[in-house]
Amino acid sequence: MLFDKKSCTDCASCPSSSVRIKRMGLSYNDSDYTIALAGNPNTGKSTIFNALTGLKQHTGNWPGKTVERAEGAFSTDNKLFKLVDLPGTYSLLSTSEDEQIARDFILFSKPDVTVVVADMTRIERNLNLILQILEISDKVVICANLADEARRNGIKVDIKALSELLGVPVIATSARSSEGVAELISSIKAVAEGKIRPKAYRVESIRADFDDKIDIIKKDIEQLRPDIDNSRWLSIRLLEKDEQVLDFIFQGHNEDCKQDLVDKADALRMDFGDNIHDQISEALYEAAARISEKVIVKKNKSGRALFDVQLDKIVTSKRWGFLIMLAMLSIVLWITIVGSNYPSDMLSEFLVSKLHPIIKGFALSIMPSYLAGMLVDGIYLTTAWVVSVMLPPMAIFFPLFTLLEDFGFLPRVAFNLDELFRRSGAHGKQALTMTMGFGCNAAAVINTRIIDSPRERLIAIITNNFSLCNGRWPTQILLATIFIAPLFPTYFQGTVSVLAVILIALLGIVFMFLSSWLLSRTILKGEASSFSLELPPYRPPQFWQTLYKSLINRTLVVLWRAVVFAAPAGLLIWLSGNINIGAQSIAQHLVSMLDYPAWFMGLNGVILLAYILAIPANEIVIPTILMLIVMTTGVNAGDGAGVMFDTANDADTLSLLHLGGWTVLTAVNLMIFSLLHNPCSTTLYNIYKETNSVKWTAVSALLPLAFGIIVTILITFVYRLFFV
Amino acid sequence: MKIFDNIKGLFFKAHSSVELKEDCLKYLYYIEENRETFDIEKLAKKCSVNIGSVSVALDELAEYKYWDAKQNVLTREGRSYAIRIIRKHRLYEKYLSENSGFSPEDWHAQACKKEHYISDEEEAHIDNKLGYPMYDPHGDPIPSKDSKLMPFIGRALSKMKVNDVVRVTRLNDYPKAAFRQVYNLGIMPSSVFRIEDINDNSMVIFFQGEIIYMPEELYSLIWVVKASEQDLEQMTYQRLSSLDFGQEATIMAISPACKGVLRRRLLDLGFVRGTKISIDLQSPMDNPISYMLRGTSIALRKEQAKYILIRRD
Repeated sequence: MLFDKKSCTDCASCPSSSVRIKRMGLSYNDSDYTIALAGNPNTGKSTIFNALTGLKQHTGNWPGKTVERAEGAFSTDNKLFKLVDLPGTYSLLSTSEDEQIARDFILFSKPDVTVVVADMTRIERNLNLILQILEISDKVVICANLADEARRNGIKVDIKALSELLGVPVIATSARSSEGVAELISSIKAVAEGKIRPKAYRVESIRADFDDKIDIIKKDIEQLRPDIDNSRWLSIRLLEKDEQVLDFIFQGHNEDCKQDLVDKADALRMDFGDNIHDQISEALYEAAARISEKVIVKKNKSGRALFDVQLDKIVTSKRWGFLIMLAMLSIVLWITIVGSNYPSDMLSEFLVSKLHPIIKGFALSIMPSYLAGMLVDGIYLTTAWVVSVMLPPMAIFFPLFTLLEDFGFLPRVAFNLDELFRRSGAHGKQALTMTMGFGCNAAAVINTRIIDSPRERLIAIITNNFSLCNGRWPTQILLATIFIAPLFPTYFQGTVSVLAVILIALLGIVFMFLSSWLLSRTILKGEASSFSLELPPYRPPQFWQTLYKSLINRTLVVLWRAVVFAAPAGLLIWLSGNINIGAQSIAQHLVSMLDYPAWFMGLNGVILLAYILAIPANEIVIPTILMLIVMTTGVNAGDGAGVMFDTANDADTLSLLHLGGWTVLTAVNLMIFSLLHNPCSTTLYNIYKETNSVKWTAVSALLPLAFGIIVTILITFVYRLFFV
Repeated sequence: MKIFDNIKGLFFKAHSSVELKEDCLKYLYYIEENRETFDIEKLAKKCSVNIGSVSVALDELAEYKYWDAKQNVLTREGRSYAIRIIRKHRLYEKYLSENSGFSPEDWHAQACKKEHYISDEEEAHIDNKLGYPMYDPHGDPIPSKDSKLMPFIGRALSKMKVNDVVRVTRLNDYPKAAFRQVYNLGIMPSSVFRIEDINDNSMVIFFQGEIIYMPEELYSLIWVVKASEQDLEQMTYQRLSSLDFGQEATIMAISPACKGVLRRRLLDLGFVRGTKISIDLQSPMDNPISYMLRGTSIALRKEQAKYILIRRD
């Protein structure tokens, strides 16, 4: 490490950060001014950031923290401005990591201008942060964003009056349509260059005698550091015993008067009472209310658009709430399944049917056949599989998911389901990670960061695998199509397959609640934590932008994953199928060993081995199974033994599976087992990274597996009891 | 010389653990504060050991000059040490009350165990994290770093009369079950209520808009003072959970029973004095309920809504 994590507060001159930036081809060292970008979450701050920097940005982490940091640059009039995106926060007074980062940057790194992005439709709420920032610095520009939203909702804010009251420039913007952005840039420039000298508003009357009483400390600070212009705010921080601020004041000064100052602050604390923090918070809110009353000219009576309210009444009603959620889930599943069919076929046509033989031929001409087999049949083929199976569903599901998220539907889901989670000892936000898990469990595990309480976060992580992820849908669909659908009349068959998948997905949700309940009664015992959730107003999602960004992100993730996890797995599979011990390959040995335990579960050795080999990635289960069946039954199909493949149509697959001894029971058990088994390797890797604990990673792996084994054994037992 | 003594002690007399020695110091301090006479049996009982172990501990304390064996009082250093332990104990209780999943009746027991193992560094960290509190969750004053203590005020609730409006200053935490019940009612240090009726072994009070019945095992744990002018205002408060759909109210305060992370989050979300509030949406399962305040819709579980004190318009 180039720096000491604990003492690092000045990011602007950190050698580590400039090294990173240079490598990206952008050099911020010669920027003329540094601008900090702050604001509440959900204000469109990222849109402003993008609007200002275009694509000239990069992301990394704040030193010593897990919080993401984005930096960018823009230039105007031959001056280069470096823009640092601070974490979105509601306040700067608590001790959460995000708030510390934001506060430290504004106070210690002294940006030339701090731009605060606010949601014009919720000025009162956003004023809390704005007023706090105004206490720290005068050089502030406020960006009242989402002006188009405000107009749409009939909210009119007197920008001029607000600017006068707050003492700093306020610019109305609608970043999505670039409205006001040019004006924003020129304001930033004017403040940075000193052409405008704002005089920020400072909150009065925290209590009647407050300013008189803290005058003692305030005067001392002003004497010690005449260069600081926010002595009042620093006094308040001293009152709350902020060590960092104390050190900051005495930087480079002798420490004699330090104890004196500390004693004075202590005496004041005793005087003000134990709840000084609350008194300050409440004063900020009262100031915010007073200011908003003066500047909000026209406002909807209920504070929300009529359409919003009516829609919410239906979405959260007793009669329609659950139905609507079920319908949305089914629609998303249906669109994804149907929509990814064709692209998946096309991709596998290209990568597997067309490219594979060409590459194989080429490889055979320049290297020995075993090496060609390893590289092309093992690594390339597996990677090609993963990509063609995974890419289309992910590319459809995640944009849909993000659209729903942007629209504002997902918080309503958490709101409706929270009671169920509460009774299971979990947190309502688990509803959100659960739904993301339908796309990809690995991504959802990371997303559990939205749950603050560690205990409930663990529950969300451990049970996430019960959300049927994209990688397992093909298995489910295939089995439903060739085994279950034929049991129904022809015109119904297409619907039946989709219905079967929906049913399995719902079963997964049931298991999720069940295991959450179990965990919170046994190894993750504890009190239910608090639940508070903001229901943001419905917002028309930025359709094309979301589509584009989602697509790019997910594609990259899938490709990365394919290479890192699936490729080595492919190698292993090829090796196990092509290295012989005695007369049979390793794979065949393992299959016979696993046949016996598999029988209890209503499965067979081929399936179990395929699952073990497919721990890296669920998508390759079916091709692996087919390969193993060919190997063990000696049937001639595809490219020959030891190579994964897929058949041209379902009928061929069905006959191959029958050869392998499969029945409807096998199919049903496999569908259940596909739902209830250990998470894929990427997920496990992410779980380990998030929990930093081998124990909990093991629990996450074994709990679903245990369920899977028990349930399949039960089903098989009952079936054999009654039907055989 | 010190090492020698220890080895000698190993062979010639029993050693008592650090925990026992510190417990003795703690209870000796309490005995003196309560102006009780020193009684080795009482001390042994409080430390949950036999008299033999306690006398061994006392001998060692005397060696370290914390205990004056002739006069049966703690020396100045002994009192100082005792106060430091009490500080760690009460700080840790406060920490548990705000940051853990432990139920209220377990705080004391957990703190009793942990107090011997908290390093000075940890102690400073906890103090900082909690915002340098002056009282523990029972209402007992937490000694400051330099051993300053706020004085204790209050009388037993049983000594008050009907129609008295009182403010709670302290809660006894024993017996555990009773303490838990009182706590669950929302009654804790700084709660204000009015005595409606007193019977032979029960009491009825009016608290946060509700009539509450308390048998003697519960109200005997409560210590109070007469409510001041400022406190009287609290008598007009009701709980947010009692608000009906269509009614408007103004938030007056967040109950002091709500602490730590949750309290701060509620404040940050805007549940602050003076805010107008009403019900926005009810979830299909009746919990949580979303409230409209300051133009924002925020969902809260009933368990949290009961902490927000309002006055109906």
